[in-house]
Amino acid sequence: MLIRRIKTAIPYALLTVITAPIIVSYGWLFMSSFAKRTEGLKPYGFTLSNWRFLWEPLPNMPSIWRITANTLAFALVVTILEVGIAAATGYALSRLHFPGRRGFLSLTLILHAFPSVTLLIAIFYILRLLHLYDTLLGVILVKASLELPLGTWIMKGFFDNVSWDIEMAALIDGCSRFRTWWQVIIPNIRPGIAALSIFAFLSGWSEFLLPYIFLTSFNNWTLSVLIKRLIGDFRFVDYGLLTAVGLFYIIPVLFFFIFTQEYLLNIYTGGVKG
Amino acid sequence: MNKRMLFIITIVILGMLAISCAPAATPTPTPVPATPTPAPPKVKEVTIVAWTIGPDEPSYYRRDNLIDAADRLNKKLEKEGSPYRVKVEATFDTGTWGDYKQKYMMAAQAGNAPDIILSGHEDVAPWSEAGFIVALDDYIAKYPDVYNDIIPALWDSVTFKGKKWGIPQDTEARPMYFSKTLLKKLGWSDDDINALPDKIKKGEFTLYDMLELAKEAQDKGVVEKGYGYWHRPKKGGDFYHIYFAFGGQMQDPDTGKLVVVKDAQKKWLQFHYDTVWTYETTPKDFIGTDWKIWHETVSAGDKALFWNGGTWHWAEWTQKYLDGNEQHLWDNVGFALIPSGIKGKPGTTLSHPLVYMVSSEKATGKKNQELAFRLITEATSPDLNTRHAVNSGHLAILKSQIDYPDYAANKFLHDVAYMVEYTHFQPNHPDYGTYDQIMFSALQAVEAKDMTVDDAVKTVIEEMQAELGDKVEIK
Repeated sequence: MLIRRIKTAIPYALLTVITAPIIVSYGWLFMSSFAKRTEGLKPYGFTLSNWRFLWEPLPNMPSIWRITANTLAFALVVTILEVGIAAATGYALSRLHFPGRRGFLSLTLILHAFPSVTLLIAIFYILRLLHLYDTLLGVILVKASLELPLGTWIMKGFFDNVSWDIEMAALIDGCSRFRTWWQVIIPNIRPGIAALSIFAFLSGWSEFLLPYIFLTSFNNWTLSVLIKRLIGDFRFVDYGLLTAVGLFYIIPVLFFFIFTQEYLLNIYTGGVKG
Repeated sequence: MNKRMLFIITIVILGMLAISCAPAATPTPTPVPATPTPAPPKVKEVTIVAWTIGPDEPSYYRRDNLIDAADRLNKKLEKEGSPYRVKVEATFDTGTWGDYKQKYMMAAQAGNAPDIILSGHEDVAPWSEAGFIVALDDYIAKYPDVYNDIIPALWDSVTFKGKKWGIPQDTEARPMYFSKTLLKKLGWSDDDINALPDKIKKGEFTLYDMLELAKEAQDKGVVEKGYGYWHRPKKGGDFYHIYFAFGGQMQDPDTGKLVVVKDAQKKWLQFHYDTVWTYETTPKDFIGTDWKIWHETVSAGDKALFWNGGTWHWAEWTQKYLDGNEQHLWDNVGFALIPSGIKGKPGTTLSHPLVYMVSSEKATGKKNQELAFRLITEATSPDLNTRHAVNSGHLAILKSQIDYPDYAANKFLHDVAYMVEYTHFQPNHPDYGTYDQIMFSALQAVEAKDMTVDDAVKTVIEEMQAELGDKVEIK
């Protein structure tokens, strides 16, 4: 009996030890955002003033609500573009045969291998050419483009798993290709769309590099840029404020993740047949 | 989720898209107001975009002075019968210099730069060469009453290839601060302490005298080990006043070329090696320390014995670290020039004037240059500059400010005013960034003991010659 209990307890003990630093970090983040000051990990006093950014603008910064709206718009539009385009291209790559299909597939994966940091200069010139530098739309297009290769592959995997018989039946019954895709196939891969949407939204919400480099106007800031600006050169960091904004930044994602993680796991079960 | 709900969500998302994705409003190209025209039919508002930076928070008047200057300019425009009125969209950045400058350069490349940019005078050379900013000589000539009032030496900092590319916004000095409290603990009398700035000015107390004294204080337990002398914790111009103190030169005034004086450079590196490794008065791995730790330590007034900073730090410490208690600094902290490295030579300091520059049409896509300049002209007034100087610990740029009541009444500004006579500037040269990086990398390597002083000197010379060729003179 005792041995069985010990055996059961060991994994929990191990997991507790491994996750302790993360739990302590989040715990400190939470406590520090309500503390007058902290010394090491220990908070002193209680205050709501670290959350003052919710009801008054921070000096020399745009309103938090404007920034949050930017971040939300950024994440949502990236999600819509990524899922919409990936669903169409994934279907084409899975079902249609056209010259260069294999090459296109390989190329798509190679594109994903480029981290966005290596493309910054080229992206800058393209945005400048299109007069999209320092616009949210420009950065959204860049982010969606960089995310598309992986999204396309994932969607292709889901389309591969849909039976040909269903599609054939729809086509024989007189459906057009588009109608078959929209009314027959898409409903079958709903979990995949949900999973990719969540994945794309989280990626858009947490994006830092692209908005930081390509958005110069205060009014275009996103939350990740705000956090960087609050840190500045570490000269005058108000850690209470920083932790409160950090917590504000992760709260929506945390809830989103808690309620949707089931769908997120579908990405790894969707399969990617070639 | 039913279809109606889906439809509503889609509409909401598209609405947010339309609001958020719209490009930032940029005013259309506006012609420069020509000669005043009588009774203009309709007033046209021109938006002047200005970027300013602290990064120290007390320097926010760099932005606010431009905003307030708009009222003055608009009154003048109205009086002149001009159809134009200006609206200012000014921002004040408290981030890092590197980020700020990088953003300006990218925006200028994209034709999206602000009409007015405030930055260090050393940006005059690279930005004018790149065509980002315009020469201001013709404009300056139109307002002699304002610009004859600028302290003459400051014009040197904005002059490049014979033209003036900026208007000085403020200047400062970089004193050697010292803890009066700790010197007293070491047995110094008030008279000894009060005499120190003068001894430094006359060259009777050198940099190595300072290290000896700091070591003595550490050995006697008055100062904690590694707290004898603190330089700035990050890359920056301040390091070069030590180079000047050993007889260094950064630019040849005749040829305009960058200069490395080998002997001074070696002594400069040796000094930094010695403070870390020989005297142990500066901590190991000090470069990279958080600014916050640095400020908290030095502003306490009884932890570090000597440290070099800027005059603006006085205001920062008062406002950000001491809850407005300036008296704490007067009680505990003294200031002097940077001691010379050579006995008998006067102390030195470094000034880094910040300047307003006007972006070119190429950089902004707009023709607002004259209006932008006129806005700067209105901001260049004794009252506005004085409120900035007093609030942020910066020195006057106008002769008339010296006697301006608020300025004259500020004891700190009064006491450091003499330092400007002993100042140096960083070079106005398009390749100064490369020069600076090579010098600083060597200093970092020496302090980390990754390189000997001799090797570092050799490396600097080789790299300078390889990267800058005949743009640099080795003396």
